[in-house]
Amino acid sequence: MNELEKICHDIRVNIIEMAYHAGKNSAHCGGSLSAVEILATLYHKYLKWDVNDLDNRDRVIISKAHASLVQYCVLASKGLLTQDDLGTFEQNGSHYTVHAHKNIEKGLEFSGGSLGLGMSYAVGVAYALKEKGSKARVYVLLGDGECDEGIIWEAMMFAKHNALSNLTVIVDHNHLQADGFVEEVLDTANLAEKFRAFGFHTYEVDGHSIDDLSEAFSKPSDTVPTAIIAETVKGKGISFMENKYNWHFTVLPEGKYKKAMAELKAE
Amino acid sequence: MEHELDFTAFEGQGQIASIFNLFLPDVIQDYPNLKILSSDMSYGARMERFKAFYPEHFLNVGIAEENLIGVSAGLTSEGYKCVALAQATFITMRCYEQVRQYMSYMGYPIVLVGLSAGLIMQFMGNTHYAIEDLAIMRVLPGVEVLSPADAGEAVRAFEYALSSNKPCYIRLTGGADAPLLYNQYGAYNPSKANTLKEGNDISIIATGAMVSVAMDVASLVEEKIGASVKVIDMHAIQPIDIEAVNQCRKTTLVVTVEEHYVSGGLGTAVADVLMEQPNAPQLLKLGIKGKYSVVGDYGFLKDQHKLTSENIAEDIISKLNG
Repeated sequence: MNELEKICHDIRVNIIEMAYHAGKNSAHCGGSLSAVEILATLYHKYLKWDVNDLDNRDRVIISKAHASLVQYCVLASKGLLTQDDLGTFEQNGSHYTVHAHKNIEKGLEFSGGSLGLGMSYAVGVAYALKEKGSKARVYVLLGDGECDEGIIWEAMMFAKHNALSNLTVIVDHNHLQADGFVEEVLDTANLAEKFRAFGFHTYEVDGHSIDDLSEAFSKPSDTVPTAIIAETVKGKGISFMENKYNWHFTVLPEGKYKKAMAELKAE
Repeated sequence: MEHELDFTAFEGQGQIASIFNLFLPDVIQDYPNLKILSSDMSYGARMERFKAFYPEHFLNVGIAEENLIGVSAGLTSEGYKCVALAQATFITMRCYEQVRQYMSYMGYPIVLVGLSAGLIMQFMGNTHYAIEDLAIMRVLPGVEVLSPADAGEAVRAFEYALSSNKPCYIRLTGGADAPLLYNQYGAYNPSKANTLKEGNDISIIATGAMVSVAMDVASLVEEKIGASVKVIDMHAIQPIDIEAVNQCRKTTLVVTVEEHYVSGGLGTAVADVLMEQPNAPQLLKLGIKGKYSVVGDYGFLKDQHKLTSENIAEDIISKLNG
C-alpha cells in the first residue's frame, strides 16, 4: 500500500467510525465511500490550498453534499479538521452536519444540501476568477443521480459558453441513487457523451484508480471546461455495502460496524 | 450613496426604464464591482444603452433563472456586487429555492429585481402575473422586500440596494404611464414608510403602483362622504414600518391595497402588526381574491379585481355602512 492508498484506507476507517458514532441519526456511507479516491487524489496531489493565501486557493465545491463524511475525513487527512471535530458529526449543535456549512478557513467552500446548486455556484465562482485573472481552479464534485437536476445542464451550458477552462467537474458515477439504480430511476445514459456534447473536455476514468484520476486531474483543457466521469462503486471497500442502494443513507448497527472494520483491517 | 436626480426626467418612463435606462448608465462608474445579470431579459429591462457602453458590467446567463441565482452567488462570493433581474414571476418562483439558499440562508447581498410585477403583463396572461411574490419573499429571514410606488422611489430604492450589504428583492410595478408621486426624494430608508396625506377617519396603506390609486381613492371618499383619509406609501413590506401601521390605530378603518393576492402580502403583514395589540381597528384588505384572471389590459384587470379607485372607494364606503 503506497502512501496515498494508506490515506484512502484511513479515510474509509474514519467514515465507518463516524457513521457508527452517528447511531440512529443514520449516515451517508455509500456515496462517501465511492468518492474516497477522487477527493484524496485531488486534495493530496493537485489542490493548491494554503490558509495563509486563501485568495489564491483552489475552490472545491462538493455539490453532492450528502457525501460530507468523505469531505470531512479528507479535510482531516489534510489537517484542517481534527479527530475531535469528526467526533461531533451529527451531534446536537455541531458545525459538522449531514450537509456541510460554508467555512472557508476549514476548507468548506459551500453550504450544500440542495442537489444541483453547487454546480451553478461553481460556474459563477469560476467566471469571477477567470475575469479577475486568478490562477486558482474550481473543482466541483457531482453525483450521477444529481445530474437528474435541470440546473446542472443550465450551468454546463454557461461553463462552455464562457470558456471556463479553470473549471473541472468530477462526476462520481456510482450508478446508484436513493431509490435504486440510476439506470432504473432516470437513466442518465452515457454521461461522458453528454458532457462532450456540452463542450467539455471529458475523461472517463476508473474512479478508484489513483493513477487514472491523476492522469485526468493533471491534464485539464486550457480552452474549455474539463469533466472527469469517474466510474465508481457505491459503498466501495465494504463488501455488504457495495452496489446496494439501501446503504445510501442508513443506520450502521454494531454488528455491521464490526464486520466493516474487520474488512478494512484485513486489507 | 445618493446621487443628484432630476425627477422630472422620469415622467412617462415608468420604474424599469427610469432605473436601467436613465439612472444606471449615469452612475455606473461609482460601482466598479457591480455586475448586472439577467436571464435573457435585459432588452425588456431597457438595458440597451447600458450594455452598449458598459458590456463588462453585464452578464446574460440565458433563459435559466435557477442558474442566474447560482452564478450571482458565485460571483458574490468572489467580491462582486450582483443585481439579478428578470420578470417578477420567474425570478421569484422559478428559482425560489436558490434565492432562499443564497440570499437568505447564506446571506449573500444579491439585489433581486422583479420586473413587471402585479398585473401589468396584461395580455401575456396569468403565467406572467406576479401576484404571489410579496408573500413568498417576505418570509425569508434577512431579505428586504421593497415595493416602490413610482419611478423616482424605484430609483432611490435601487440606489439604496446597490450600496446595501443586505439581500433584497425590489418589486417593480406599473406601466410607463404610471403617475409620478414624488418630485424629490431623499435617502431611501426601508424602515420608514412615507405618509403622503394625513387624515383622521380612514387610513389607506398601499404599496407599489396601487399607491397612486390610493391617492385618488382618498379624494373620492372625501368628496362622497366627507371622511378624512390618510394615505401611506408602504414601500417596504419587509421590514414593515410598525410605527406607521400603529399610527393608523387612531382611525376607525384601516384599508390595505395591493396588486397581489389579498392573503400573504401587504394586508397580512399589516394585520400581523395590528393584531399584536388589543382594540385593533377594523381592517379591510383589498387585493386579488384568490382567483386567476380573465386576461385583458391593465384597466380591465384592475376593474375585474375591483382595484380601480372607483371600486375601492365603493368598497370602503360600503364597509363603513356595515
